[in-house]
Amino acid sequence: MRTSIYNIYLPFADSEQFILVHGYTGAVDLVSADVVSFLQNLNKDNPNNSMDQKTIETLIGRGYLTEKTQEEENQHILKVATLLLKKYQRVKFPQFAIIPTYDCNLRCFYCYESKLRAKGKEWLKTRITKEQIDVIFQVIPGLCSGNTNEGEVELYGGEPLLAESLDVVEYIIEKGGKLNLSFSATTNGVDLEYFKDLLGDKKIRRLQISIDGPPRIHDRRRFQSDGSGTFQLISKNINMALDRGVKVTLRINLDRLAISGLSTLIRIMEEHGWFSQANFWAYLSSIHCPNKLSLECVLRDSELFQEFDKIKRLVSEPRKIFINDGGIKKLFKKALSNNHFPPLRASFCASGAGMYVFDPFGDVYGCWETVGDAKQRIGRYFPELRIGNDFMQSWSKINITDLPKCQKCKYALFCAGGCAYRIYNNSVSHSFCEDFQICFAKSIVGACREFLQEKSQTLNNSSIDRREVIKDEQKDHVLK
Amino acid sequence: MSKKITSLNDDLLVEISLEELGKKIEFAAAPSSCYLMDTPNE
Repeated sequence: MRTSIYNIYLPFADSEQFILVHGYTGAVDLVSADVVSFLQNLNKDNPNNSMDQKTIETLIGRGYLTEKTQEEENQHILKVATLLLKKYQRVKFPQFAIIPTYDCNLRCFYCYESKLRAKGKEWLKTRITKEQIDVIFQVIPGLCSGNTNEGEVELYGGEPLLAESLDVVEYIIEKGGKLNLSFSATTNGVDLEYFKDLLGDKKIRRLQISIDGPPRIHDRRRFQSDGSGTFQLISKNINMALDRGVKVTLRINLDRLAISGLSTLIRIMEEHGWFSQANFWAYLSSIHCPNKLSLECVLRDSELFQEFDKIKRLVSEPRKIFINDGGIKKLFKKALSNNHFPPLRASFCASGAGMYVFDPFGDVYGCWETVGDAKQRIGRYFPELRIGNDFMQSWSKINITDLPKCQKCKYALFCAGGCAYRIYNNSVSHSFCEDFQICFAKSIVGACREFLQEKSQTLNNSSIDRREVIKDEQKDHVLK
Repeated sequence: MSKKITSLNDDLLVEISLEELGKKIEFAAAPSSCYLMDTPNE
């Protein structure tokens, strides 16, 4: 019997307790510190290391103690990863996105699509045609393993909601509506006023709008062609969208320079009353653009978490603000609430689990970051659908089953090796693994804390209810 | 169950057959897009 190499030990609360997570059994447990000490010392030659039999049996049952050799444990990870990849092939409704045009009305210095401007004005201003849109909605049902009801298609760009694209966006929504599809959009929010009649249920029901800080910072980064700032305009459009019942998620882009404006931005958001709106959320995300942004300016993910801890206290509804942790906290909490195992994954994001981005040139891409670079397309949809090529073959191999170094890592099925685009382009940050571990710990401890608080609240409520019932029964008894 | 351990989930993937494993994995969500964040409490 030995201690599994896939045990993850996370200090909890006062450090007298730990959250213990197992990397392939999916077990999540709250344990006392002496259990952690026992597990960590078991493989060492320490005669005083002991534990009661009942605890040992539980640790075996949960996978923290194992009869498997290290090699057998590595093989088990591969087995789980292979099954996960097979499951992705049966995703009922993959991630679909349509790029009406690569054109944009802003020129953000950190934009990862800025390299596309070299292709010239004519290329940038090319808009998707009605014939192409017709084909997209013919091919979408065939790419789903379930029906398209309740599915959502993302509008992406460039800027998808440019005033000049109104007619094609109208046509996209009309055609999608016939398949019972709804839409979301990743937008800068500048021209949103023109699209107000397309906002709402069964149309564009969800918006992600980016903001870079309070006006003094945002307007220097996200300005219009005449140099005028966009903060006030975007704020007005957010109010308009919220009034129409659209779910608005504000993406707050941060780097080391923008961080100084975060508390002012939160104050402005409070003045607008956004956090009290049921259909509003905001999240912090760091800007990653090594070519345009000096590395000293880029916030590490672990630093972003520190900022998040500080800023959360300033928000009147702390649950309305969150952080880009790849959805780990949310999925973990959901798994605990449903008594399932945590969100294991074999590839990092939707690009490894079925993602189709249709562009105005008839190309299909499998990742946001690759759009516009024909060498990195996964196929064509116009004039007819042809998915699969050499690039897609090499891209689809970027997952845990083809990353031997990652298979030996206890976080393998939670991080899945990281961003496929960065792995493919050999630009993984040197601090990625360290940051992932720090962020994972914060997300999991947060999820477990909230889960335990809610569970204790439910137990309190039910015991209060029970006491009320007993009181009523006693009253009835006295009356009788 | 040991008093030193409070299990927060009971669903496990320890020593089960490939078939059972496949069924359990049906519960697992496919990874989502890195750029679009799901809201935390919807």
